[in-house]
Amino acid sequence: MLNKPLPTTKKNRTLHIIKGKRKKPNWSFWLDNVVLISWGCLLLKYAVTGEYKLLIHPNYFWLVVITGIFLLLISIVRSILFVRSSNYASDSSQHLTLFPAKFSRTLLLGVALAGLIISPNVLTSKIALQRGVTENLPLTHSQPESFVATIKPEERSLIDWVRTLNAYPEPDAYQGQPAKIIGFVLHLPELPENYFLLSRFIVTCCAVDAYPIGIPVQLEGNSSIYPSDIWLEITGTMATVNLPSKDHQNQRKLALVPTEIKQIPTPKDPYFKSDQ
Amino acid sequence: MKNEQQIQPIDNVAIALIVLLSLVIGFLISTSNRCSGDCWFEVQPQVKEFSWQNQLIGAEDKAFLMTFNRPMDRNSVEKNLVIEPPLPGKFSWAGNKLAYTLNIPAPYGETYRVFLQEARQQFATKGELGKEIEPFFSQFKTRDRSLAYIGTEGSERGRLILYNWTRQIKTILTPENLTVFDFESYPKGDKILFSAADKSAGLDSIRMLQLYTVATEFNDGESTDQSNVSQSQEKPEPKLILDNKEYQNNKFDLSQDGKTIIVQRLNRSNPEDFGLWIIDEQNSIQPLKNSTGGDFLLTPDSKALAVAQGEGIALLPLQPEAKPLDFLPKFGRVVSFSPDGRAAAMVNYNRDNQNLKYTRSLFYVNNQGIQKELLNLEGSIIDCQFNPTATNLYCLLSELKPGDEYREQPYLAEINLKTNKTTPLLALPEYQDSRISVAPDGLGVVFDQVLTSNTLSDGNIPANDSGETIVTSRLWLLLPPSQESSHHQVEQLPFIGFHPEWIP
Amino acid sequence: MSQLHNAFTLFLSLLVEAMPFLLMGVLVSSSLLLLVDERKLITKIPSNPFLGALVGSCVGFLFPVCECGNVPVARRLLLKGVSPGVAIAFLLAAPTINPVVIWSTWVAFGDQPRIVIFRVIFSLAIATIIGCIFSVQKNAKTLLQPNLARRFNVLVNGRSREFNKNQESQPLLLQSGTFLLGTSGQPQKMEALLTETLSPVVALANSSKFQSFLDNVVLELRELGGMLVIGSAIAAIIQVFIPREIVLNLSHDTISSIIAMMLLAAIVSICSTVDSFFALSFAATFNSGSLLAFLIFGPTIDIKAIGLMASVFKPKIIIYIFVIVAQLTFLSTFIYSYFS
Repeated sequence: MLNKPLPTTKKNRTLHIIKGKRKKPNWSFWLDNVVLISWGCLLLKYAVTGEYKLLIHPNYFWLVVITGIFLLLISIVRSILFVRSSNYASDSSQHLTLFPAKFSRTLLLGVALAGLIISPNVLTSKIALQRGVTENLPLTHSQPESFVATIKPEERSLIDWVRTLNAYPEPDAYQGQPAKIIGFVLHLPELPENYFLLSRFIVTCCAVDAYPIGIPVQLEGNSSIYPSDIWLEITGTMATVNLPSKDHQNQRKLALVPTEIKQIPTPKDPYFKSDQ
Repeated sequence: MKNEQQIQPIDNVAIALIVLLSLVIGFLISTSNRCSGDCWFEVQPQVKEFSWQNQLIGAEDKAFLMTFNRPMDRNSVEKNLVIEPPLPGKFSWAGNKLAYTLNIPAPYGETYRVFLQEARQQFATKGELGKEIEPFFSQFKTRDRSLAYIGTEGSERGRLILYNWTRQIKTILTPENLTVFDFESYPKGDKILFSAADKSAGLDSIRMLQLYTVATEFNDGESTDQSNVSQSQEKPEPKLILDNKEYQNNKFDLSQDGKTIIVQRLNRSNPEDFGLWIIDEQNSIQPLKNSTGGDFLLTPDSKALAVAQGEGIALLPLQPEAKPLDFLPKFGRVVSFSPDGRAAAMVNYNRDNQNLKYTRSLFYVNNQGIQKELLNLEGSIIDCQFNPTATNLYCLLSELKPGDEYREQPYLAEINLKTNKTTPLLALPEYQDSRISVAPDGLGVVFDQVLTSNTLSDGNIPANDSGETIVTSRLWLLLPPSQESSHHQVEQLPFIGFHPEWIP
Repeated sequence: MSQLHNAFTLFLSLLVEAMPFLLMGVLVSSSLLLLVDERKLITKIPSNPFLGALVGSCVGFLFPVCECGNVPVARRLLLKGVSPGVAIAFLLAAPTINPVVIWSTWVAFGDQPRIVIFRVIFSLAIATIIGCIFSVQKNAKTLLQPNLARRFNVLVNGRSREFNKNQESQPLLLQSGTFLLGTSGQPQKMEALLTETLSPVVALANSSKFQSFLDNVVLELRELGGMLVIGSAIAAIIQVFIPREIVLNLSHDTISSIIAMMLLAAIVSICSTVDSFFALSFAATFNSGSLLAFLIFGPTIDIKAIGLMASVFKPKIIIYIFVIVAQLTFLSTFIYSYFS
């Protein structure tokens, strides 16, 4: 049934449709369904495998799931209607769009298949360099955490540290505090050679807007023994150091002086989420 | 289809508008380029926010934030920021925000002026300096220097007295019918929490304590943010916080944020019912039920309670029936916390060590796990307080005098926390059960010299913690070495009373 | 190679993030198609060009869709015969003037309420001004992308003919219960009209509403999805291969900062519901005027959206909109930065 050729001339088909009598299975109808199904599967695949975390802010998780389900539902309902109804008209308005429908379909199908085959990657230090590390956090209601024996500074994550520094930047206030931070290695050209930036991306919406934050790590020797993009868990203490930044002369900054550096696999959930 | 090729009305309008807007933009850009000085529409970089603008600050305010409306050249800002009189400090930055952290608390009772001019804007491109900042001027004040004590003479006897040092005004805060036992100031010094009993209770007064707050009036007039301060003519009116009906109230502690009060209470009809209660901001009280009620102290972050429990110190959260957060088995007592909450002075009674059995050790403990012994003595550690920057510890200690008779020799000592060196400053013969208070701005240490008698009097007379009657008392001020003098100086304060406390 | 993979990831990220909004917009558009009586709709919109444009700008409050969802809805409004001024005002304003976006801007810039307020005011003003300009064009057809214009021909011209004929009686298209034209009563006429075009809906005249709803959803998803793919691909490639430094280093004074941020807005193609958080990360390096430029320009014009707009308007019209929006954004934020 499916193999019947498409009507060859437009005029022909037009007349057919206008008469509304045709009941012919056709390629375009089923191809549209394939496109819908492939996209539905792609979105659901991201949701199931957790790869959506590499693409979008988890707030949009349900949006993606619902969209995936909706796309599948649409294709199912269409098919049922098509099979049941005796005079379901083919939808073949190819030349009404900017692109021919064929082109659109192929494009969408191609992207969906590519997406199903090729997994998204974790953004690398190249992107971080390209975007520039920021000092400002889009966090508004941050409060300086009072320092107490019961709140352990070593439980602060990288974003907590940057947030704390953002609220009250005086590095001496944190000097000597223990810390344990996870992030990936980023070599900034402006840093001295015994430093690298332990960094992570923050996602506000999707990977496109992810931007890196980081805390400088002070090493004894050359930092190049740690290649870019490997993930490290660094235990150490905080210290005040003088570091040049891209826009400013030497500035007093807080840096992590490691006592233990451990390489870890890339986390499943590598980005921080900005709380909205 | 035909008219698609023709020029439509929209083409005319849109192109006309585009041309018009281009002209306007061109005009604006050219004028803005031409005027390099003060143009009417030219706005320079500005200080958008200054966190101490016209504020009344105290020792708890360690740093101010200055937010600029543009990215600034940091060097030019740091170079040109002037504070008068000078307050040494350090700069730190986060984006457009500058933080200036004072090295030591600003001395009280002063007005400070802040100037900033000639600082420059910075653009993302390196090397190019932008416009000069609009000159900025602001000022802030520190609170008046004041202290409170309990009077012992005449009509002042047993009453809470506030002395405003800056303006030299003495005010009696409590009515005649109350005998004040203990007090603690709220963090901004606007109120004082005290425990007192009615004079009619006589000898029983120590079992009849009630908790009150009273407003201080030393910030009236000029203060903008404290509307609840009474006028100086008006009699301050104590407000009852906790009554003594079903429970007997013993000790209390007020949190550093002023939001929580912990009271040790005993049920009058059931002596088993003894423990710590928590009073929150809404004045609702509930038992904590997690402690037997040893010596206790709230941590400076106001989130936990250090309680002597069995053979150690438990850190308890402020929720009823919660499990301890931490337990420090070595120590028997927390003497004091540093104002920033990072360190504490604790006493180890050396019960485990046979050689040191009857000695006490004073330890410095901080939240980074450092525990170091400061001193070890045969005698007692009466009271200790950190100075505001937590570099020194002032302690009232007493050493057992050699000889047949058991006699302790109290003295005041300063312990340098960097070198661990203890410097005895003053021997205090016949001093008993004194208290010390370090000024929040680091001015000096006040302490009292109390003479007690064991004869029980009519109970109208204030008693000390051991229930002994206070006969008379003098107040002293110890000044640390300063620019004027390289030695410690002691002077007697011109009032009679005991239990002096600086108002924060 | 890793850069290519990065680009592919960003490309997918853009698509996955935009797809739900596109679907939402398409669903709204398709239900408008079926449920809304265009005659009533048109009578409800004020005929005064200014008021019409203003109303159009505020319709976004009803459909909190970002810049991917607004295109199908605007397109549907146009096809329904709504004046181009109103539809374009909606197109430009809807991504900003809606509760979700205003709220998120407030969360991000709560400490600088001026940015929030001026974002709303300037976006509303720009959309209304452009709406007014386009209301001089009574005939929407000439604005539209040729293929859409043909569809428009069928719908609107056919309808007005119907109206003229059946002034007294109920219009045929309403009798059928759908907006669909041309019942079997007029096959010849339809044929004459539709020599080259072909409206699936014509043939569907007798089938269920639901079926035509579904078909419209699929049709629009396919058309706009294709455009979205191309727009996202371009945006992702630019993101990866052009260092952001180049854009940011353009800024050395107020004017160039504004231009740099507008350029960044166009390149980044970030959804308007979250762009304020993104903008906040530039607060350290850019003044509030240029941040405002980003927030105003971004939602209306970006590469991803231009792809979608190309499926609606003629290139000439897109250029007009683009240039005027850019000029007005620049002008307003330039003036703003002198008073901030």
